[in-house]
Amino acid sequence: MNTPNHASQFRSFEELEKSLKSTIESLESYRIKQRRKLLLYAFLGLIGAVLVVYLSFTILSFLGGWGFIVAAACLYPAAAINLGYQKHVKQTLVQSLVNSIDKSFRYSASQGLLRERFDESHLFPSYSTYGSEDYITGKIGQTAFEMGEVTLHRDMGGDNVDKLVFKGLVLIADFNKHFQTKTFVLPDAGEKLFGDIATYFQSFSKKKGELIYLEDPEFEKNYKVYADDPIESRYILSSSLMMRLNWLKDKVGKYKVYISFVNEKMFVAIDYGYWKNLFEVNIHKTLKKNKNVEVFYNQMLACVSMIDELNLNTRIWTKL
Amino acid sequence: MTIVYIILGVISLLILFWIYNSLVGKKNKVEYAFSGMDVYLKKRTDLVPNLVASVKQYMTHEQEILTEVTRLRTQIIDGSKLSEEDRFKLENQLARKVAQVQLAVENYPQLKADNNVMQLQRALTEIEEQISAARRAYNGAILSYNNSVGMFPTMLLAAILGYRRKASFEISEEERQNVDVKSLFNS
Repeated sequence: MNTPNHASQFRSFEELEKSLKSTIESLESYRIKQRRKLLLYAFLGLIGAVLVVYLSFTILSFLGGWGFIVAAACLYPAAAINLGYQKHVKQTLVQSLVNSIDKSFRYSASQGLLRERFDESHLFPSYSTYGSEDYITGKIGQTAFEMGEVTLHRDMGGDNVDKLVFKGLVLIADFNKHFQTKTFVLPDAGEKLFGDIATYFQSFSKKKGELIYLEDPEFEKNYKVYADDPIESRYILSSSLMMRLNWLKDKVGKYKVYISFVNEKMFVAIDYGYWKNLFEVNIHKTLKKNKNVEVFYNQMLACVSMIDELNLNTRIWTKL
Repeated sequence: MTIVYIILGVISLLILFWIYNSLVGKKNKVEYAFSGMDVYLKKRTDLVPNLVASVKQYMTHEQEILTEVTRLRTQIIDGSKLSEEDRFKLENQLARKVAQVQLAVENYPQLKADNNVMQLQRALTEIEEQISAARRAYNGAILSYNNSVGMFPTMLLAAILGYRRKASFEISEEERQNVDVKSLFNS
């Protein structure tokens, strides 16, 4: 896979790890301290709870069911320490990661992408609940962007558990060309498995427009394209952008990539497909050699490199 | 036995209808893609006089190229009876000459400082990108159509209907090469 040259201007995770070393080390000593505190509270809480429950069945029987409430109150500080630790680490570490790409980028653990902005993508129309966190915003050259973690569920009715529709990273960026119609670039699992037969049946799925065949065989293997207008979709999906999208697919590996071009914006959604958070912090696990940090950084970098690609083209078009 | 013949006859007819509809659909797609491309080609042809008028008083060394651009434009406009292949050839030549003019602008500071010329440059760059997209769409439609015309069993009905292979809009090897800036400025 050819990696476009300008992507190399961003540091690889191995290089970044060195400069992040002091941040990770100070967070690690903070983690050890907080973990000790948590275990102490949890231990004291448990002893207290067992004692109260025991006493409520013997000499202090008037306490009755209140024993359980006292037990819960004892364990509350432990839970608060855990939550406080997660928030602190996320804000410090992700902000450092984000700033290592560009100092002007802003990160907020509690904020998320607005639902209306996400709905503009038309990528996942059928869901009932929307959630978003880990919000990053910034500008590369002339291209403004925002991204965040998005979770979508569908209500299955009755007592059934809600179905996870999508969970992953969503990027919204201004596109560098004018266009009026909608173009969808969706993951193509079918063609890899069933070849031409899959392509034949895909052409019957008209929900997102006409199935478009493009000249890049690697791109055709990775994605299927649906569009309202075959010419405009090719205007958007230039050879260099197709190459960049192949690179993105290669970069995110097993995760599915959904892309749409609507209202002169580009929407990229990378689906992790499971319940786990993208950036999960566990107080009982060391922050050193944390694979999660690397995965998060690489995906963010892949998205930012895409913006970089768009920005490089910006100046030559009439859209300034 | 008669029922079997009737069923076979109905199935054959259905297949024939399906092949016929698919052939007509593909031919229509080619025409639609051509008309889409034609719009952008005409847009470029319309921008050419503006370009020539804006640069000709400064570009004293490139008069030959400018004359050639005007000649090609006239040939395209007047050539309503041109075959698709000849039209594509002329369009490719025009594209190359316009690109040469655009490059030559870089050599004239007065032109580079002119807002109108720079706006025209951007419009032409964008139109080239649109033409390239339309050409890809057209060639895609042509590929699908030519496959039907050349493959069994659709080729049988295509021959009866008089459908022939169509030319795709390719860039020739000469036009594919980058414009040689050195030779341009020496001319």
